[in-house]
Amino acid sequence: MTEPLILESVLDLKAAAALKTALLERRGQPLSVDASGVQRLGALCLQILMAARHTWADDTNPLAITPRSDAFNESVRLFGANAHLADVMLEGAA
Amino acid sequence: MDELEEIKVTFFQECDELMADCEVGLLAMEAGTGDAETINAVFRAVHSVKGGAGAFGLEALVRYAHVFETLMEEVRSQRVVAEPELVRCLLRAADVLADQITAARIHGRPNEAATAAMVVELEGWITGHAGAAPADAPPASAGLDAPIEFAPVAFAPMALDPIAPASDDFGFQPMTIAIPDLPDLDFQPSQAVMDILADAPGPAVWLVTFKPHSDLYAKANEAALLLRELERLGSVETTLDESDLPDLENMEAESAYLGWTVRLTAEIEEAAIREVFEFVDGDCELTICRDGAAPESEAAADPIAALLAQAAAPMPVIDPIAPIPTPQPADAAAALMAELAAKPPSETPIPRLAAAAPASDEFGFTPTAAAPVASLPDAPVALAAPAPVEMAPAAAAAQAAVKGGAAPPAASQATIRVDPERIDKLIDLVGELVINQAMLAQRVAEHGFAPSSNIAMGLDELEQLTRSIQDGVMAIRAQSVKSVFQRMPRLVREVAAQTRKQARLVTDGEATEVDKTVIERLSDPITHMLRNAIDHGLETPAERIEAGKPAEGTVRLAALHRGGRIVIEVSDDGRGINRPRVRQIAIDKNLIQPDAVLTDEETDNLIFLPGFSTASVVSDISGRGVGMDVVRRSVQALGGRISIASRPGEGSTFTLSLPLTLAVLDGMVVDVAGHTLVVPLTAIIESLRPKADEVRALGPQGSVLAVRDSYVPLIDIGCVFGFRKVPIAPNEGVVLLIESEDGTRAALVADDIQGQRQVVIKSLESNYRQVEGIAAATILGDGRVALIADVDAMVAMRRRAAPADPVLYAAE
Repeated sequence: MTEPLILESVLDLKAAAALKTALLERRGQPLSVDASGVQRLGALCLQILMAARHTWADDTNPLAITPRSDAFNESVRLFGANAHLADVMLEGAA
Repeated sequence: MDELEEIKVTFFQECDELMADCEVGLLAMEAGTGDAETINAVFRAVHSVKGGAGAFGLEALVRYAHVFETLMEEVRSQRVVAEPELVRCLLRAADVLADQITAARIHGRPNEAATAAMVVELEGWITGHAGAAPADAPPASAGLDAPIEFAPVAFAPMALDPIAPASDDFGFQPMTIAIPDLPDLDFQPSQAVMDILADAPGPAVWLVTFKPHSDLYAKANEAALLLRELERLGSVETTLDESDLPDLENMEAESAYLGWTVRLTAEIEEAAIREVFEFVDGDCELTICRDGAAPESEAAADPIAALLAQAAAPMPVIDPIAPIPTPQPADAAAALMAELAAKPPSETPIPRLAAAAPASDEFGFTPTAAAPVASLPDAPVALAAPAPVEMAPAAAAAQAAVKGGAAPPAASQATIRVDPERIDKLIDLVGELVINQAMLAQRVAEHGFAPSSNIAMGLDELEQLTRSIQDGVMAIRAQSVKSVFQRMPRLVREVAAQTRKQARLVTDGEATEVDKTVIERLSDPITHMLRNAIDHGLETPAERIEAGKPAEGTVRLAALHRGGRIVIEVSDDGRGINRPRVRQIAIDKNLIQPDAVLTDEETDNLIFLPGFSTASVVSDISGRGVGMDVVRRSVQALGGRISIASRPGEGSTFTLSLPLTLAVLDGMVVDVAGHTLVVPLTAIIESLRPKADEVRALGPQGSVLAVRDSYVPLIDIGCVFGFRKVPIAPNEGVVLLIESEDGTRAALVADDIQGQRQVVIKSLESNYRQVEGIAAATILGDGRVALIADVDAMVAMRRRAAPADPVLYAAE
């Protein structure tokens, strides 16, 4: 697996484009996303992560979002996205 | 500045206005003139601050505002009586809220101890144990240690503003309000809650479906905040809809693809849910319906089907609360539809219904806030048809909802925000226009056109038009002094508390308008004069009672227009100026000779001397090294003057007079040794041509002029500015008798007078540099630059030039 993608602490509107670019650059290979530093996750970045999950699944590459901060987990819960991201959020919070 | 910051700046501007409304309302309540609408206005102000703060993730502010809002809600619903003690508490709560806003604005830390103490006090009132929360702020630790119920469900680090990391050090207290009646509920009671409890008890299950547009995120809003707000209302089950989500390659990073359906179980009305979406109105698709009822967007899509369904179905299914119109047979509805369709659109009551729609549960139909009426072209008509008589109640309901604060604030905005720089630029341009017009007039005159000629008459019209434009533009920048005055009640409260005096502020003439540039500089002098009035003017309550006065002193702050100037009066009903003491201090500080003979007025004016302070104990309030001399200097810098009138035992009045604008000035244009100068008209008492025998030489250079029964020093303007070495004989020129700010008179000698003129002030400091004796510059009709004299500075320069000041002694 390549270097993990370390997420910014604030994933809001301003972080969305960079996140998408960063993910696309890593397409085609197994990826580990480090969400341990995330303090804030907005809906725009959430949907990018969800889209990435589909893309990696289509490519049959493994994707894992781990470790994760409590804030990240809480946000995913708040968004009602636990079920959608369950397969990439297997381990517990970091 | 990025977009988010810009929106934030607007938010804080609005906060200022909201806090001003809040204070005005609370003061009205304090004065006993408040009614239900006043309380509503205060509630709405606090509510709007909370809403905006929520949109920016300013959690600390939201938490505090929430407690405040909850208490206002209790007051509004008359469960808590707005007794004077409570209103005083609310006033202090508003002060704390203003501090919180300021802290949020500058990314600073709010005073957590004060906030916590205030929260405890507010909660004391909410729970009806006001007695337990003393009117004086309890020790700070009480707020933090108090056994407060927590509802951490609503709290998540994510919502914290990243630039204010301190905000969660505070300890979390938003959901701390224990409502005795509703101990198990974890939502915040609102008017809507109470209404529903009164009218139709029983839990409700709401289906809230929303799908943000990209705009919602672009405007710095966030779906997470909406979801969190919904969580606060009750228990939720959130379902995420990702059906529109494209694959990563094809998605736009800043476009919105996700939607949510929240099943919300809470005993609340729909309006409470709509409140959550108040700030994203139009930026998301939103449907709210009771679980089990058809979503209204479907009803809207096919109004006839909906109407038929409504006619056929037992009504209570749709909305158990609403008074349902009598079921209409399907054919009757169709007939009405046809009838309505035949009417011209203008006769159908669409607008009224549209306005009433959000609250029109009477129809079992609630158009979504997100779906504009335009997108439902048929629905309102269809609804209006079967029950035209329902219109009035529907409108009334809407009105009630608006009054109750449940509906979004009125959409009509009576004011627009304009960048002040644009107005300043406009004023500059109009100034140029005035100058240009004067130049044109001068050239026309030089060419010898008769005043009755077409060109001269056309110019006259141009002049009038120019003057009108100038007045109009100046009026744009004119603001009422209210913005300054409304900051003062808090100051009075705080200063009174610090000095252990009781003071009541009475304001008058808040609507008086004055140029914005003057407004900005009014605040400091007024602040200082008010502090002074309370600290030095008012007696302690014990002293006042002994003197036969009410324990509470009155400080009056008034603004009025007088003679083309704005006059600010600050008066108190205190002890008045202690003249013997003032005199003694002035002697002790070598400000006057021990044997000086001074009138009462002159004695009073001693307090304006630099270095004078009557407070024997240097207090926190006034004795901070800035005395009344600073006030006088700042007032003079504005082209104003300050005076004092005092009666022992009855109080003092400070009167501040300022020009209405700093952009134009009425001046006397004079010739001095081939130069043209402008002397501000406000300083001039009269102009005269003295006779030779009225001038008396005094000393080697000086001379005085006999004006009526007194002598005033003669000052040759040309000598002051170095235009000439030897003064001209006063009887050969013209004398302007002027009065300087301290009341002393002088006679300025000029060669000739050109006339009175309104001139456009051009700052010399910003265009060149400061020149002593010169206040500013202007451009005359012939295009030449003329200097505007600073009369006081000229007199001062002259005094310094005269070594032993024999002139002044002689003048007395």
